[in-house]
Amino acid sequence: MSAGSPKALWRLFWYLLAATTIPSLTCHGAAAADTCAPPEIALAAEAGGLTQIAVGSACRAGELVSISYAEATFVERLDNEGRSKIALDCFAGNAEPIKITFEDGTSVTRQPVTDDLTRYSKVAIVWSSSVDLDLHAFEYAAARNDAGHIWLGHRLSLSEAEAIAQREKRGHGFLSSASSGTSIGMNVEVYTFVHYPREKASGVKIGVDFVTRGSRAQGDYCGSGPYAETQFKAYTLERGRATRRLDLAFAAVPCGTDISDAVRINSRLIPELIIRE
Amino acid sequence: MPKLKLSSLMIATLCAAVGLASPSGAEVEGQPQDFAIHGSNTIGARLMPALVEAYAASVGAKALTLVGSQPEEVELKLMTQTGAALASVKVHSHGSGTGVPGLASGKAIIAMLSRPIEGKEIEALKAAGIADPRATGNEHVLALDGVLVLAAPGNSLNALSMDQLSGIFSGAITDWSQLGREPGRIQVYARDDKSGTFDTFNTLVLKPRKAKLAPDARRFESSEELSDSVARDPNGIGFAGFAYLRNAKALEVVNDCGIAYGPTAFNVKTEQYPLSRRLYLYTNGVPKGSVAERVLEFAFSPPAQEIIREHGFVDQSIELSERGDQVMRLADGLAALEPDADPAVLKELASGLKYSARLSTTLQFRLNSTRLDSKAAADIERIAGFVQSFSKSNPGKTITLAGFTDSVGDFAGNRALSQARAEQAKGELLRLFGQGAAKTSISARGYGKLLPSNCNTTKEGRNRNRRVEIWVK
Repeated sequence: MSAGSPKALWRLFWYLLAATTIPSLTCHGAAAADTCAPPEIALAAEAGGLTQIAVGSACRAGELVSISYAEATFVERLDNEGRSKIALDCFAGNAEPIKITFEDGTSVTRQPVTDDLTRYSKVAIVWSSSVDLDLHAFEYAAARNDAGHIWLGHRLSLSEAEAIAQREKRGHGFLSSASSGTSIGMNVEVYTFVHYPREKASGVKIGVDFVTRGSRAQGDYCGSGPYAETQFKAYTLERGRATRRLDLAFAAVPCGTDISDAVRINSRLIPELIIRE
Repeated sequence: MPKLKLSSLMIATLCAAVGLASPSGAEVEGQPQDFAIHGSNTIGARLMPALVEAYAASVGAKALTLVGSQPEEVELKLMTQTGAALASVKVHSHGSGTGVPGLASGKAIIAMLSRPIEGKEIEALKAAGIADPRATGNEHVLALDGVLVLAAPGNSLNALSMDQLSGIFSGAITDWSQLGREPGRIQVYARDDKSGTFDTFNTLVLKPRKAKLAPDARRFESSEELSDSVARDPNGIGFAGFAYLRNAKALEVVNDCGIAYGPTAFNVKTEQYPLSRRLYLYTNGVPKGSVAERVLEFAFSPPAQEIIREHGFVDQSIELSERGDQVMRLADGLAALEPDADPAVLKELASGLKYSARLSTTLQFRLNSTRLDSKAAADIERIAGFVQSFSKSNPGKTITLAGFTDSVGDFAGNRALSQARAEQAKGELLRLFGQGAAKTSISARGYGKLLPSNCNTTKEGRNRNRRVEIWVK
């Protein structure tokens, strides 16, 4: 792949986007399209604290569209009719705007449309580098692989979490994940806790596993390797109120370091999700 | 041209990202500074990193938190919004016992201890050139805390006496049936030997009863792991700081005088909860103008109090009790009355209690002294601020500084000592009020050994009884 190819440019673009130390850039904005009609954007609430975004723009068929929300950006490709539907998890609350940007620089900003976010608490991790991270939630002091251990391998759904909550008369959660429809987007995993009326105070321990580093740091994932230090962001939303936005990282460790099971799912970086009475 | 179109989208999106990261607010200038904070897991696991992050936000900087292969060690890289490095703060939370060695060796600039510094640690610091580690400016009370006695959520017990706790944790009581519960072998969970939480529990519960921790106790470096393990075990019992209740159940603790104090923030602030304690930071001349000094200043500022509360600890802001609580205290005080009490002083105390509300802050003194201890020296300023603000909205109110002693010695001698302590506190308060004193009526009263807030049967209880309370009428 040559340095000037579109793929290389996109890599550079995402590298810069992910970097937190970008010096100030001069942004002139892209030229507006002369011939293309304004896009149609329709937002609708989806259960679980999501906003469904329907994009329609026939003259932009096959083009890319970026959706930015709370410093996370996802890129989707419009279909042959210029349409796309994206379910955006509103992990940073509905005060945070959604910005939809097209290749010609046209952009539309809207507020999320959600169901009642006070029913939910959420923890999200967002990352953009070429690594895999897993978010783990341990409800009611659950141990690893217990029923209350929610992660990609035991993710449940909104309806399953609600059914368990009804049965046990206390809140439960589920995990959702998304990555861009293209090969270049950011990744997000969201744990959503569905509250139950008059629940007792408790907590959900939150851990993050650096999956691609695994149990022994080697190759690109240790020392001065390109993915030895992996940065990500975490967001917490408590009953609809955005409470934290954290810049986090797994630090580089020497090659050959064994990462014990107890350490792999690291619960030091993101505070416990507090369930208040 | 596709490439140009892509570039436009890239730039537009990058602009949005950069806009979010644009510089805002004042930033700390100067060369990057690296320093370390070592010690208590109770303080260091969550609270200290949160305070460092909040400090960064308060100066318009941002913090990147990194963790390597040691979960009890985090590094916070502070940087400007444009990414210029300001400082690296390493927080190592391997237990209070590791705080002073870090400070003495120069590896750490701040030591975190969830218990007061011990004699041998004072000697180690003296050897390292810190003449008086307990002096104001070296010893700082960051927050208050209570050691919670934890059980599984389904445990039917609600309260345990100090003797029962000692029996359970020393292995003399081994089955729940010995406490009137369904049979089941008790599993004890405890923090490790480097832990200040363990030291506090040992000092307040085991040592006074000449007991030692049961050898089969499961030991933990992390309070979080301990709490979750207890919550999962129907036969488990353990202890951890207030912030680590998580999914476990907290039991009330009945003190040696038979009074049950629930683990509430007010009872911890007044230090009446039998297992209440202070969380300390110790320093040795933090460089003036350094990031370390600014972090330290921020940790004691009003905005930090909210962070302390959010993280489950008890902050040092002042609360006012309900008047009814004071009347209940009088009933308890009468029950503990000793034969040599002066009826006239008792009558005055009853009148004072009946018509007053109490501030949550209690002033304590250095041993055998009328000198305020390090927490009280800082509290006096908070009290002055509270009283001035309170007086504005409640004109005509009066403040009583009520001095008390432990039960050692005769009534008359103790009354004179308690009056001297109350006068000392009044003098400090008036000094801070300056001309504002005229607007508020402040009186000092000594009540001797009446109304003990703790049991006089233990050294720790006697220490806590040597105090000045602040009442508002």
